[in-house]
Amino acid sequence: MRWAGTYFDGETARAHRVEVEIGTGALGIYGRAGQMAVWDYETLRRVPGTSREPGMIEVTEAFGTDARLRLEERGAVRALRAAHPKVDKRRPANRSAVARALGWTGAAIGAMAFIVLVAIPALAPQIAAMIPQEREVALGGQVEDLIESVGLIGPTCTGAAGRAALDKMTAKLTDGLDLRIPVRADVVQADLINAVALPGGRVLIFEPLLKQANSADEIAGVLGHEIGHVQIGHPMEGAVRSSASAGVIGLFFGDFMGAGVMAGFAEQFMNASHTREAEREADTFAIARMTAANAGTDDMADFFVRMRDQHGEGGLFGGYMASHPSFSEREATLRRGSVGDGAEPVLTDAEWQALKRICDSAADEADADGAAD
Amino acid sequence: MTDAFLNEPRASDDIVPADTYKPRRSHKRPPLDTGFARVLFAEDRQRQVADSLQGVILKGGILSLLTLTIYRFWMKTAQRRLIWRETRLDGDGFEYTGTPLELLIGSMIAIVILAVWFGFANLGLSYLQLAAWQNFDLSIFLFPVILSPLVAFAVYRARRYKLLRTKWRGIRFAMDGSAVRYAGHWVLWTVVQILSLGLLTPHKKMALERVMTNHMLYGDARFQFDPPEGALRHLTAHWMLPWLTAMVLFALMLFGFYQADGFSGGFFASLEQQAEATGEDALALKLQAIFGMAVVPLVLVYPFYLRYKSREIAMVLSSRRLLNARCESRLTWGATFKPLTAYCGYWLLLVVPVSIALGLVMFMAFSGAMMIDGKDMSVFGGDVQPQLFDSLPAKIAVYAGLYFFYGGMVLFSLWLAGLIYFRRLHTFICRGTVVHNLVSLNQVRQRVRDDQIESEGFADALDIGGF
Repeated sequence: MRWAGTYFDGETARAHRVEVEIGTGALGIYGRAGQMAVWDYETLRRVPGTSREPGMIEVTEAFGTDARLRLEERGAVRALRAAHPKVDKRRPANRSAVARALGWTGAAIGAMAFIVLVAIPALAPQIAAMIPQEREVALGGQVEDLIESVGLIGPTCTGAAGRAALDKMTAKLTDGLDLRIPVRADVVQADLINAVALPGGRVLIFEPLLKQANSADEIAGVLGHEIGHVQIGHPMEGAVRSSASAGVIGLFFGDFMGAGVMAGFAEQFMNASHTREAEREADTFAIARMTAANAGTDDMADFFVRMRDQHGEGGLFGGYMASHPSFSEREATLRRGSVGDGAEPVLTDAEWQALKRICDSAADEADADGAAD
Repeated sequence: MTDAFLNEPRASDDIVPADTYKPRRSHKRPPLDTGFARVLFAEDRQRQVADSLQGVILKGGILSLLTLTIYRFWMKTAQRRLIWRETRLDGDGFEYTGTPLELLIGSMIAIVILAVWFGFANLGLSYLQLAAWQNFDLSIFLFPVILSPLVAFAVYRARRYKLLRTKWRGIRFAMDGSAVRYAGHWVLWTVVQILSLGLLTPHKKMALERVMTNHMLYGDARFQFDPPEGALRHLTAHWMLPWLTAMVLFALMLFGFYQADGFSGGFFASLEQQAEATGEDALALKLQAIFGMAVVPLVLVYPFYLRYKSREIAMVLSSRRLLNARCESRLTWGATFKPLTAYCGYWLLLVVPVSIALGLVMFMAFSGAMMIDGKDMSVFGGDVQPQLFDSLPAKIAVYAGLYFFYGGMVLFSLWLAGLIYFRRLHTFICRGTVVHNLVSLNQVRQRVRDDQIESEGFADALDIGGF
């Protein structure tokens, strides 16, 4: 029995109408001028990726060859599968291609890791150091405007007595220190318990941090930590590092839709260890300054204990993902650094109360006084 | 079998039955003498092909989400194999012979090069923007400018890879020439385009297509770029309306930008009152209003841009010649308009139910996590933050919920783009295109084997999608 087929010889682009004889060990292809080819079942296979619908099959003499034969009759397809059950067998995995794929994937991850974890962090401080001070101050202003425009922080607080207390605290912590850039600390209205150091020596203490603090020493510890960031130059380094690594990690996720979110996650993951290291440096700096000012760091340690009890250690992967060292680790560091019994409070009680009320307007202050009377 | 079967005619046999191909509108071109062969995409079994495509997209999308997107190379290959084999010229399907591993290797090689390049380029750029130029915003424009020639390079490489991995009637396509030189052409033409304020956009398109087409091969035969008479005039005529609208809008915006402070009549007076009442910046409000107003004409002119686009695709296809065989494409407006309408329609129809369904699952995950940890909503003050959960099961539940929502949205977008938009676009382009004198391809012979090539990795890494 002969079946109708279409044959492409792999040499020319002509389509041949042929008759096909499905034998026991081989398949014969016959055209108008007689036999055109005989394909052995040993190597004959369905063309990878072609349709598997019942009434059609496209086969090739062997993987990697160009000639094709198409059968389009149900009976022919059934006869071929009966005579040659292995026709649908897949092409075996190309081991050398798999090895090369693994090798290049490793190289790609290595290159990205080298750039993001080694090259950029090594060069970022050099570049940050080359940036003129007035430029750094201007950039800090831009960042401050940005976080204010997205509603993270509100207006700066201006209570005069509180201002004086904050200045005294800053002066105590920076006394005898050769500052890289003048420190300008302020309290701002906000919803979160936080404090940040921006480029240009700008330190912002979020008001809720003051509200929940039990003593001036807690705030002094935080302020010392932020001044540490300023003095070591972390904010500027961070700005250079993040703008330089932008897009590098995104390459790996390619053109898959929504890859940006994955890249953002991965970037956070890779940067977390740097930020944690920076936080440790700032903690060490804070302890040194507190000790120099003869102030204790136990209160700040208590603060971290309180944060841990209220909010947990934070982060799905705990230490790996978090941008800060764990509260417990920071508590331990601060306990080690404490001056102990000889410590003096950074501010007097009156100054501390004034600082706590720095965000209340003058009228409110008068009201509060009136109510007290 | 009878001789009658062996002698049954097909277009490539040069004996063509009268056909019913009648495009609704056409631009002027000389009538063609001999018969033509049709290019068809799944016309006889649209439903089955749509179902297969949907299966490939959903399976591929889910596996990509579960494998840090690595499965995307397998997904893309499966998608191409399906689209290639269901696209038939003169009854014979195309064959895609590329493999996922080739795509993966190409992409990884590109990443090695680009990671180093991006890293150092970015560092230099940050120095320039932070220290030298004193202007942080400049980088927003500078980075795309630096990147854009690379995109042109990647586009050329991607087409080369696809051609080298495509067969028709057992004969391989190919592409020679240099992607770097193509990128050079692209840069020059982009300068021309900008200097002409966009007027010469059709000229740029045709010139760049000429470079690519003249380097395309089928077997031992070389494609030639041979546009129909008056092609550029035809395209420019269709380009005028969208271009003029854009230009007028641009001029008005520019005028508005510098003069907005002085606008105080009618509508703008009410804005000034509003600004006074709320303490907002009056000028900012006016500029916002001017931008808002510009959207209306842009939306109105968009269908005309799509009409130009369909003409552009048709003209590029109609300019391709291989020996004596030539494409003729007469796409109607609907070829670009209908797929986009379908895309927008399905999006509008489904985005709310899909978000609600996914949101419900996410809500269930969050509720479960809260039960595990014994917390209630008051802890979060309305804003649920995953890092506030304590136990590992609760955290896993929350992140799984978030990922489920995100992944569901990605799948929805993939489905819309692949099944709703691209499938229709491809169907319409094929339907509007025929090949004349296909018989002349009977003399094409196979080329000697082409060199090993490292696929289209740059296109993937640079986020240039498509098939």
